[in-house]
Amino acid sequence: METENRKDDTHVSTDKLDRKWIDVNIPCSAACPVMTDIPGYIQAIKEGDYEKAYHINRMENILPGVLGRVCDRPCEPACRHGWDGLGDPVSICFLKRAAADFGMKPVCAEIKPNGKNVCIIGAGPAGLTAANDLALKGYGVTILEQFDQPGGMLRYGIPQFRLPHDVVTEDVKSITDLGVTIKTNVRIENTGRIEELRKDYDAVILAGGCANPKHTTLPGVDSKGAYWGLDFMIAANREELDIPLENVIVIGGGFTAVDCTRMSYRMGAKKITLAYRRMKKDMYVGAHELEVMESEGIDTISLVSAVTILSNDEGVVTGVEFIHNSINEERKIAPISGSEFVMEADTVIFAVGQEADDKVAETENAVRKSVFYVAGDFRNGSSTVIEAVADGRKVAREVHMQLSNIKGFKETIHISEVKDTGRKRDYDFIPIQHMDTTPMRNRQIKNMEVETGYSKEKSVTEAKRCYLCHYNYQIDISRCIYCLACIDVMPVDCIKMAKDIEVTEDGNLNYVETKNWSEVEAITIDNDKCIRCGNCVRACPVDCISISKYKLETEEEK
Amino acid sequence: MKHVIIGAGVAGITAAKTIKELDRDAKVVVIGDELFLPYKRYLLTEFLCDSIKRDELLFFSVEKLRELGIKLRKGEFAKAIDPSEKVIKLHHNEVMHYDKLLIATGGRPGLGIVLRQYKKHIHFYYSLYDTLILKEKLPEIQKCIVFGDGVSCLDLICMLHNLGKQVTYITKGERATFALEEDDFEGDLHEFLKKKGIKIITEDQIVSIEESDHGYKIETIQQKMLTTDIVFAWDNYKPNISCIDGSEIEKKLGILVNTRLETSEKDNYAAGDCIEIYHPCIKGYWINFGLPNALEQGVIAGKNMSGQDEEYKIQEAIAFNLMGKSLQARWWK
Amino acid sequence: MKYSEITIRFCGIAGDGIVASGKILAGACAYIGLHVMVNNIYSAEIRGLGKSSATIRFSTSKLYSMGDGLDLLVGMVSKESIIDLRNVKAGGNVIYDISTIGSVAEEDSLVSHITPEIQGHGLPIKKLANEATGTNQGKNLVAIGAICYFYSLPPEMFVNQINSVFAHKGQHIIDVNVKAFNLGYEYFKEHYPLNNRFEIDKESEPRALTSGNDAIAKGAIDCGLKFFAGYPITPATKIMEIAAKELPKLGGWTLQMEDEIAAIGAVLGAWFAGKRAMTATSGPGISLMSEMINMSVMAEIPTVIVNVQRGGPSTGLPTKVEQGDLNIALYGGAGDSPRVVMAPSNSEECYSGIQLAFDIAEKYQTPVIFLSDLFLGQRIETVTIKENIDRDRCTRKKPTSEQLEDFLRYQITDDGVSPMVVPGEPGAVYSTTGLEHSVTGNPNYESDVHSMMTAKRFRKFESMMADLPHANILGDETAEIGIAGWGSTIGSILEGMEIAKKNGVKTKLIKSIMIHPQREDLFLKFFASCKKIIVPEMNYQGQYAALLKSRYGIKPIEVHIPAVEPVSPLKIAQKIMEANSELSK
Repeated sequence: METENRKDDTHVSTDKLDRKWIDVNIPCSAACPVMTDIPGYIQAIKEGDYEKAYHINRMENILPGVLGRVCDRPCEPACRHGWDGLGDPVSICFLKRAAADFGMKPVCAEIKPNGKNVCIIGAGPAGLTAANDLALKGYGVTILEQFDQPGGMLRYGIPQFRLPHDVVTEDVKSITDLGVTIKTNVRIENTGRIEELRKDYDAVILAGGCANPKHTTLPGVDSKGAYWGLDFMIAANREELDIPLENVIVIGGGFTAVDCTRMSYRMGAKKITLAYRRMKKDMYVGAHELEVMESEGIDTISLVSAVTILSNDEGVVTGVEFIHNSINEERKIAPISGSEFVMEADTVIFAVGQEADDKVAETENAVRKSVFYVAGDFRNGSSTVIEAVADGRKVAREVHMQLSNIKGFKETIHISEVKDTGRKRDYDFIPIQHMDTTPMRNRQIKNMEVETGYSKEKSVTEAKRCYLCHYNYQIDISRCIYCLACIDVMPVDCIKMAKDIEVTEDGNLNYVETKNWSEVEAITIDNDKCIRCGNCVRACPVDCISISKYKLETEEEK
Repeated sequence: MKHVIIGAGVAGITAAKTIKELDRDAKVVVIGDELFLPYKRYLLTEFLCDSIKRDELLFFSVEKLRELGIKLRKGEFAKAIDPSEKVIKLHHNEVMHYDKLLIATGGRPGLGIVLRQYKKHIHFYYSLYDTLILKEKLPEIQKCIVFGDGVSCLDLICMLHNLGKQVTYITKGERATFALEEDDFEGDLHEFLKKKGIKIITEDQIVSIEESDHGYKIETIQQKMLTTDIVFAWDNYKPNISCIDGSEIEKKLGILVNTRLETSEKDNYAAGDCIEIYHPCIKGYWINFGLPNALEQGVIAGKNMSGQDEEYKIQEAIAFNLMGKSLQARWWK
Repeated sequence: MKYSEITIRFCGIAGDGIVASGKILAGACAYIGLHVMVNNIYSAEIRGLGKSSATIRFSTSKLYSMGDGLDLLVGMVSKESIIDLRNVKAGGNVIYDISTIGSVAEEDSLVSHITPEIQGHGLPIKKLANEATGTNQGKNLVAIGAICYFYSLPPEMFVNQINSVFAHKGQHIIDVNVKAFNLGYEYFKEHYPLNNRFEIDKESEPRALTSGNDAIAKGAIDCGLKFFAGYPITPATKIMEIAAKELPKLGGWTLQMEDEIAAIGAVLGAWFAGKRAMTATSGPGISLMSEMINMSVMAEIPTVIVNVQRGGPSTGLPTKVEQGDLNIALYGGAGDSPRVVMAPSNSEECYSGIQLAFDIAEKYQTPVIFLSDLFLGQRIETVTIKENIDRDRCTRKKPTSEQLEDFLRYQITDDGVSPMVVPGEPGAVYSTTGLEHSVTGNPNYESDVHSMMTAKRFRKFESMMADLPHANILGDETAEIGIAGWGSTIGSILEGMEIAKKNGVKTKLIKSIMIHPQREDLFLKFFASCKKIIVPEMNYQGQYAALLKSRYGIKPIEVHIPAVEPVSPLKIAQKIMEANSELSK
């Protein structure tokens, strides 16, 4: 059990060095676009408090159920547990899902209406986030959504076998429960409509996403059997697509391309090939996604570009002519002349990216005046769910600053002393807990979710693996007797004999190490290497090693 | 000049020899992940069937290495390469500097995420080590299941059949082709194997392997339940190049090289089964598995590393011997 | 590979549990009926990062020495183990840690020095130890687990051994150490499944393990040791430790004195009072004791001094072996100062020899210097000791009631031995001193008296002859090459003779636990039958050879090995082969 001190013992710091400490030492949070308190919620799961874990996620990344399934997980490659020699990173995303699966509950926040109203165009992740944040500040929020259901790409762009619709529905409901109104089947297509909205609302946020597939102008793209990736996905998700598939080629290297291949597999295609112009490692999807795709029997060919879509006399697709690419020293690709080859296919899907609706986009420049904001993919181009959430939050803050006349937001670091982190050294050797998946023979059931989620037991086991990097271990030099007992038990190269500790300009600590006993000025813990095992604390004969917990908070600056 | 060669297979050892012959003073270190002195992998089947003795597998003896002044380090592998610092990090955290590096790590059978969880039940047939273990087990084996593709798979099936074992072959394809041009084979390979008594299950794959009383129970995607004494399985055969992960060296499936066998990083070369090269004749990228290629590439890499300039040219097709018939692999076309 | 004999060395630094490794491995091997010999080498510094190593040799047949070369080197530390690589045989193996902290430079890496004749095997020793115990403790057991699999030894014996070695530390410590063992075992099973076979005879009975120091302490206690006084010194301290633990249980005493002079003084006092007493020391201590030994000679007070020899002179090489104290033992007294010198060659002889030493000392009222050495004293080996327990044993020549009426403590007798009483016996009042004395014990400096008394003291050594054990002649009686050796070198000589025999050269060896006095008749006969005589020993001067030369007039081939490690049998074999080729010229 964590024996945290009472709240009034907490020291609040605004020191640049403490802020820097968080960035360097809590790599998962630092990698997250919304700085989710990852060790915080994992520790809650470890203690079996799923509601607390859900609450942390719900407040920081808004859509725990959704992100627990489809987040692109910038945190996991950053995880200290995955560093050289330390094993596999913690399955942070799976744990987030466990928090949502077992701890979901309505947000109980006291909302004082401030009388101001905001309109948000688009009920995708960016719009929903902005709506959530503003509603919590007391704004009246209305979202206008072009389709008949909210969720945007979450509902229409991502297949149900990765993200079931009811998960989206529940996460959206948690936001509408705050008093947000969503009007569906409302499409805003011209400047005039936005001007009208500006009159009715104190601010308008345009978060229309990138729902339009990028088009290419290859010969034969209009043949029968050729599709644009996003259109294909939306149609399939809306159950509007009922075509026989045999031999499918998907061209592209992003999530949509991969989703298209897997959707084709579920629609009965026998042979599916993903063709990408660069190399596999350049694809915008994680290695895990690629592996799952390959396990479903989908082949990838890389360094090829489509040249022509071949069709028969009736204009029906028969194949694709490709050309091989080479990669030059500037990492640019160049076609290799004379290397053309043909692959047969009856269906070709182009998933080469997506962009904002140009009709709406044109309005942006026209109405770029005060109280008009743009958020999410609509502003940044297609990105990930978590980046859209981060952008939605950023814009919500801009709106709030403008409408409520506050100076801005400042970050503070809450530091509290603890006696024991509750971690046992054994936890460091727990192997990574794998996600259970639907058996291969059921993979062709179209909407059956592939990942079945952690059991409670598995989630606690996985949560124990987390080093809880938000704890800072320090040796009190004035009490240290230089016995080196801590160095004897250190599991990695984390405790050093230093003759000097320099603080560099950018706030990094530089330990000037020495092996010469007469020069030693301090025995010091390098928190960047520290895996928070607590061996040193247990070994210290004079109890001079302190542990303090760092937590980042954001406050309004009035 | 310190040349470090990762991989003690035919390509790596040949390159080491070439460098030493051109420059007596060069320091050459070869790092091999197997526990044995360099041996001829293509003779493993003959060794397993007792047609040759263990000594005959030897490619380079200790004496020969010493005479040439090549330092061989066995049973080790590189974890990481940093071309900008010109250092490699070995599996035991040793950091070694190099002036020129050759990556000749070859290829290996690999498992996808479905089979990976059953790794401990699966037997590979690739290295001398695998072969020695198999040799010990052979007398107790009667029923074998083979799942995989490629000529080595065919080689394995033929060997097991010739040793009087009962073989079941599972393939994802509609027919058993082993990535071979069927035209080159007089008659139908699939039927030929069936006639020889090999059971072939097509359009299927293994989804689970459980240990049972005497051997293993396997289940396929088509929900067939089979029992066997040993399972040979691999999903792919691919270059063994995890050492370049995190480095700037470009790869596709294999390490991309030019015809001088240089990688995208200066002073870093690659040769053998681990490279992928665009070849105009076959109009495609090409991983050139096989002994003659490895030998020639070893020589060329060695020459280029020693400051000479020689380009690699494609090898002629190579024939395999299948139960008395010869056939050609698609890769060499 | 199949093996019937293995030599393994663990290399590490203080804290790696190197000595415990040897103990556990030896214990398990002895339990399954193998012959085992273990030698520990550690640095002289008490705390610090000094290197230490344990070498364990086990075999299905009897072992006499540590042999030559290693089959397996376990390098728990990288840089420090490099030097030991040269001892690894061609075809041998190395286990090294692949989970050490930080980067290792190529030149400091053990692995980079491994030649292709030797095979390295990576094992994440530190990582698995941490997994099992949470700290670096248990590294040794990870390695032992791997070794157990590597040579197909029975793991359950090791688990038993862990249970007994760590029994006093509680169940938790046992559990984590068993876990460390299992992790090492499983790692090798997974990564190096093709293991070697060590041929074990399943019928073998468990064997007992002991060290020379243990055997000396036990032998002394079993034959009536009542009082031990000493001052700690490597490598003899263990004897005092055992005495301190065991003697009080039997109503005896162990005293740690302020120095070696006081220690032997106390021992002389105890003997004077009629109790069997002993001290144990090493080179620097024996130097300090010299004058008290003279006192023992002059006052004819029995005493037993164990000298576990180490490298010298002075404080010298505290943790290294040498046989350099023969001269001080023989000739270290001022004046005509005869003393008995004995040198056991294995643990069995340590046990029986120390009992003989007590009997001789008491019977002939003389100091006995018992020359063990560091290697013999500290090595652990499987032995079959024939126990001989008689704690009331007394070989003292007591006065008859007639003699007591007019008691002459230094009465001139034919055998040179005078009756001796315990102070307090009625009528037995006498004075004793380091001064020359008359038969009564009162100081007397007359020329005649001195001559008579000196002759009497020397006469004891002639009468002693009848009680001395025979010298043993081993090997081929018909051989023309004869070897004379002493102390722990004998083991290496025996194995060297075996090697020579395999190469077709016949040899024979004469060995005697008695260095002085010695059964001269047997030696003379032996030397007369040899065309070449080789005398190997671990010192620079050839101290034993010098004794033999002056005593028997021989001209031996002297092999002087100022050793820091036990003598290599191969080296002895080489000398034999050289002698043989000279012979055939």
